[in-house]
Amino acid sequence: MANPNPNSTEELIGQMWGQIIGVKPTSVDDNFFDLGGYSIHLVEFLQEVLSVFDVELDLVDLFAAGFTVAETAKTIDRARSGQGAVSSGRPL
Amino acid sequence: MVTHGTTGDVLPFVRLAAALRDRGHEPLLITHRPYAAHARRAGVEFAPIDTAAAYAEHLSRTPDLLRVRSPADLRAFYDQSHLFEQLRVECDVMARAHRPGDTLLVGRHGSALSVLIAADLLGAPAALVALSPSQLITSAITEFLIGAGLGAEISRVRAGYGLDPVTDRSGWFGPGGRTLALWPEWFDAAGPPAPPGTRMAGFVDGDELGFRGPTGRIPDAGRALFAGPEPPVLVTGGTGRALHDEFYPVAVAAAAELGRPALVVTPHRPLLPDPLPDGVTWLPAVPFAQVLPRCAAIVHHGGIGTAARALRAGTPQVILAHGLDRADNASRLAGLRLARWAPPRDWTTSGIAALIGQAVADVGYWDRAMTACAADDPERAARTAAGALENLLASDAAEEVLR
Repeated sequence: MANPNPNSTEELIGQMWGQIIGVKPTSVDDNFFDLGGYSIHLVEFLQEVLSVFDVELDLVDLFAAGFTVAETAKTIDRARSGQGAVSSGRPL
Repeated sequence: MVTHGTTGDVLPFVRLAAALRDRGHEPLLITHRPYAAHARRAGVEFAPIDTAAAYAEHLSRTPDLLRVRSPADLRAFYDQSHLFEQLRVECDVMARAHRPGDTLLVGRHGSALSVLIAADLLGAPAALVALSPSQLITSAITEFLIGAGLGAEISRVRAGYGLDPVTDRSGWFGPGGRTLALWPEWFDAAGPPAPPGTRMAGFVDGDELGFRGPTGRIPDAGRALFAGPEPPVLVTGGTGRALHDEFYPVAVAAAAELGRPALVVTPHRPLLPDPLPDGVTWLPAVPFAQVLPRCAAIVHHGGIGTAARALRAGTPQVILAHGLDRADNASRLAGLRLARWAPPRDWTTSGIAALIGQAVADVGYWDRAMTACAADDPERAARTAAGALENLLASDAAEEVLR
């Protein structure tokens, strides 16, 4: 993958997507859906993020940011620092 | 009973409605106009939500569903397909048919939003029927996309009936314990499991009522294929159009490369290569229950109804899965050595031809399929599902769960 920091959140996301979708991103600008990911992969990814980073990602944040490696890494890092929102109990 | 989609989404509901009718109830099936004949044959009352022309137009847009990546994409799909108008039609039909204390509302999981609105409007109990495991596994994502993409317009629909906006999205979507799953426990255990408390009835597909195919007979053009020395390979993407653009081109080319006769079944001829390769015959529909046992293998899209049908026939299957529930269905079966499958990135003519060749040569498949299906009885599954819904209706609705 182009320009990720070794052992960074971006690198770990790249590994996860490669394992879940079967296609490893080659750039931090690669989009989850463009790589072939869809909803069931997303569920698996969210579980992996919870397991590896100990954060529960909010779908609102994830979709708002743009589902690239770089933007997802920022979303995870924000959530790890306690700046993410929670998704339960929302109105329709 | 409200459902949407294609044959794999509608026939299970027809079969379930017939089972409820057999138990003395008066089911009303609310779905697409072209399925009126199926309901009539089953002796089930029917209310259309569209016209045949509107349904055909809607089907032509369904490939867009595979490209939904955001709440805005879903909203655009609803707007273009006039699905909010359809939502109101469904609510109106349910309101007219409702008998206080005597009506249960049943909807297809993930799409029958009208059932959830009508349940609030009428104070009637409601249950959701999931057709494949991924509907439940991905329900949080579906809820997010619907809530964020459609929430404002759903609130407007609700306001039209004098209902307040929904304040708790998860509570509204998930009527606790009221989800019925139309697959067997062994299939559930082969992948991420359904949430605790989900009642699994088994595969309910409607084939046992002889619904498949326009006449129940193999058309003449197809019969010639089965008279030859080699059983054909069957290729089908089901009755819908929500398929990867390369599904039919790759499947047809791979079947032709094998040098065996092939039968391609789809009502949508424009999706196929033109002309078709030598040895490949197209038919718009066939009675699958009769045809499948006479095929060397089936190449399909991963719809759960088609997969279950192939299993019951003992016909080796190759699944070219893309989107929706298909890859999950395929990987569950592959894990049990009941299917071979490939995602789009692996769809090469030679690669798929190799998979079909392996399937055709798989002499142990029939035994494995029969072992897996030994406990599956579509009649019993339909009765189990109907009984579970009946329990809900007979009980104090507020706290009841399906059992």
